[in-house]
Amino acid sequence: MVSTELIIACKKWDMITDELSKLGLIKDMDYEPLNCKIIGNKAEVTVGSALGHKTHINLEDGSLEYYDTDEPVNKTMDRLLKEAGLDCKMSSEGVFCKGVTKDNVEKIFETIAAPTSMDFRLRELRVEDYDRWKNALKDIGEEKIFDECLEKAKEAGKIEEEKVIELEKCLIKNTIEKVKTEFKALF
Amino acid sequence: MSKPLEKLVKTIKELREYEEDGRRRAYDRDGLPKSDALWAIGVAVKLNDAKVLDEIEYMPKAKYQPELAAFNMLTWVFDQALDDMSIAADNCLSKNVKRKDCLIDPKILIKVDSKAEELFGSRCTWLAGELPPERYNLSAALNDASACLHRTIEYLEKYATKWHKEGKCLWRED
Repeated sequence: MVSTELIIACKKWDMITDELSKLGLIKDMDYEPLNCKIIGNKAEVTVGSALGHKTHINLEDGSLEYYDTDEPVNKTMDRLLKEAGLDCKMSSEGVFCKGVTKDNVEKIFETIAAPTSMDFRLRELRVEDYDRWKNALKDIGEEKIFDECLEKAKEAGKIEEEKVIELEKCLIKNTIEKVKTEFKALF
Repeated sequence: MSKPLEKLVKTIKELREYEEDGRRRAYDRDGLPKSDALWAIGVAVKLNDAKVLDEIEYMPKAKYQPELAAFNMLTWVFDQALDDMSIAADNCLSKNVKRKDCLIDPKILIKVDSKAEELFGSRCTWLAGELPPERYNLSAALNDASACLHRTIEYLEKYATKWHKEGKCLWRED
């Protein structure tokens, strides 16, 4: 029997990625291959255009396997997934977590909307090119999020990469929170 | 719809057309085997296109792997049988031999039968091994190949039709 919880969570991910794409936060080439396949209690989500850029979510054993070889993206995802309540370990192949349940699977799928085009967003933040994020936040009437996140990122540490990761984490997390309220009534 | 699934749905539609054409050719026993070789090659090409199941199926590899291996094996022996049929059909056509007089070695389709039995649980031909070899002609082989094609299409449809799609989400009942 296919999991209703996974289907609902997947639909939510679908809508969030649509919104992120409309805001210009997801590149067309990364948006095009996105899909989520569900069989029984397991889901496989294609989260980007790179070969093997997938996430496996298994409600039977509560595992989540996020496959990626980009270290800064893995670091950001590790933190986002931990903040979503999972117990995660990061490796050079991705982020591997435990603790997915029927109760938190929607939240987890929201988080899975984050890594699409994240490498490209991180690259822009690294060179302090903030236009994309500022325009996206302006579109949803949340310009203040940028300054708040930048402030938090500055507090995070002295290493530049660390600031960039914290900034991206804060921006994408808050943006997802904001855009999901647009279709909350549907769920 | 995902690309492999889209491809499979399109391939199934084309295979159905080949099946219908194969039966029409088999029925025309007094006809010359005009373009029968092309029919056989066309079926083989389309069967090869249907090898996208492993891209549609996903994680439970352990569960699906034996079935996928059996499917790939069936398409491989089927491909060989179609190749042999196309050569026989071309030979007969070059000598103006009608389908009913164009003899074919039934063993080539009996091999398909054995692989069909592994995958479907029963054989897929009606005449191979039933008719005496001296009566097994191109018409019978076309009929059997179309019957095996029909079973293969039914098998593929199981994968193509069980999927539900909404937006970027696909799911299926197990």
